[in-house]
Amino acid sequence: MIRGEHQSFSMTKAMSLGFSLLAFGFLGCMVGLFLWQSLPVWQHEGVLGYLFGTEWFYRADRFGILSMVYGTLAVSVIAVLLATPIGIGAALFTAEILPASLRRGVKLTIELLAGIPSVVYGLLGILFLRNWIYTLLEPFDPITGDTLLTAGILLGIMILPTVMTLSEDAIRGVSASYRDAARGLGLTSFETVRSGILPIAKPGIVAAILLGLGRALGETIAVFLVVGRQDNQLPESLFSLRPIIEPGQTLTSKLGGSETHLAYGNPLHWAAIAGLGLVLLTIVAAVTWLGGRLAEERHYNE
Amino acid sequence: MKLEEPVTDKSGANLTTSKPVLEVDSLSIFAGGRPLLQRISFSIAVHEVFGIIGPSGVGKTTLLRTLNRLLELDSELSVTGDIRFHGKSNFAGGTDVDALRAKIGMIFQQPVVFPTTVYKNVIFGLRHVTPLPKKQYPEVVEQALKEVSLWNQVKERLHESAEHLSLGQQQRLCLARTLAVDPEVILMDEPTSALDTQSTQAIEQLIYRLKETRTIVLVTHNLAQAKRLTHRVAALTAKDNIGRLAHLGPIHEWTEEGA
Repeated sequence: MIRGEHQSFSMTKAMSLGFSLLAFGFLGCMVGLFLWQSLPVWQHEGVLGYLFGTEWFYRADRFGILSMVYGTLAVSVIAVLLATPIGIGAALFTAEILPASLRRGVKLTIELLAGIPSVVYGLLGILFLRNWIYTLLEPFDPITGDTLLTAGILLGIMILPTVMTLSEDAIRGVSASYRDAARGLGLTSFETVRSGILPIAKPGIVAAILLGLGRALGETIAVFLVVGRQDNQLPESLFSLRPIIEPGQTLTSKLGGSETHLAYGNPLHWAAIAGLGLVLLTIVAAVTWLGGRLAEERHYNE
Repeated sequence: MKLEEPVTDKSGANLTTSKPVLEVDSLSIFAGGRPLLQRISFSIAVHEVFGIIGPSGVGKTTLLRTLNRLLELDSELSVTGDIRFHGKSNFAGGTDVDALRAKIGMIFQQPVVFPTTVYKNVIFGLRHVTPLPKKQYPEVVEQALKEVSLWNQVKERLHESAEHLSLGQQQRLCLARTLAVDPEVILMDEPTSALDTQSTQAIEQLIYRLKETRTIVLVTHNLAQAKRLTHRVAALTAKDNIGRLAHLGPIHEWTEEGA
């Protein structure tokens, strides 16, 4: 509030406005480019036909992307379901319980984990995770260990550092005076965290989850290596979870595959691929924007 | 606005002979081996308004925060000596520190209002600390808000955000939240230093009234306020950066020479 809102025109303001516009312009151009490139497929399938079509057979010029949207959402939801409780629990542990000397070491280690190239996670997934999943799923008679579930769990591990460190920042960002006030009333440390700290840190924690989700949605190579890349996998009924434990396809694993190069020679096929990029871009942008908005809201509450 | 009658109660005699609520017994506080406060001793009588005064940085707040053991939450400070509440050591093994803090409530320099409604702020401590049926909450809330003279101003706004109240109202809300837990002692850490004159007078009148039912320990850097409100004071002075007790007794007996 004391920030120079009433300040007159300044160089800083002009520069930040200029570069913001540049970033917006760049984003706009990118969306425009993908729209233009994907135009043939929208005309061929219709908007609804493309988005909600259940069949993708490029040799027959059938391009419906619902199974890939489903795959992307399925792996991301699994990842978030896994990373949220563990990430928040770990954040509470480091922020509230660990002594300051240990906290720095733990936080540094976790941040290092966030920097590991995703292909390494993918290799670890091939090495260990898909065998474990195969063994785990044996009662259900699985075809392979490469499933949407495998990709989801791997993604959950990958976004865990993001969720954890950002949640920890949110929890530690809560002013110590709230803690003093709650403890001063006679609340236990658990009650203080539950009733005093968490509600105040909540917008920041939600932002952490959404930013983790953004990363999960866009992650390609690790998913590519363990998801099975089976087209046209959709649940038979709304509540059927069967496709989760079978190989599937996500927007990113499709885009990362060899079909992308193949498609470049065929305008319609290429348009269908470009459309996948556009849909992915839209979903990730929406989630990231929402996460950023919620992260900002936290500061107003303080 | 003037206080109805002079607050300086000269009935010091019965205050000092009655059984003390709090006894501080050669208390020293160290930061990594370096003493901050050394060998402080005093006792506080039932329904006394006891002041802790002294220059800033001398350790008034630190001393106050040891009285309900809030100090140990986030610091590398260590304590020697003893503090007894009704004759029982606060540091004895098996002491329920949370129950102790509920009995010795605290008000801070800046009002700490939780980002929720007025009503939920008042029951914030109560619903965890007191085993009271939920249907009695409204009654307790009304009583607590009346006790701090805030009821008439907020009764229509109980379920609106408490953050919209003025700073003075927020501080009174914090006091109501503490009163709802029904503490015997209330520690006040410069409760009016963030407030304007009018809100300060309102809080001072509250302190004056509250001493009928509670014991109050008031940290203040404002000597006039200490004169208006306290029965006795512990005046701290710093010598070689170590806080010591320079005077104990009614404030009018204290000369500022040592400060």
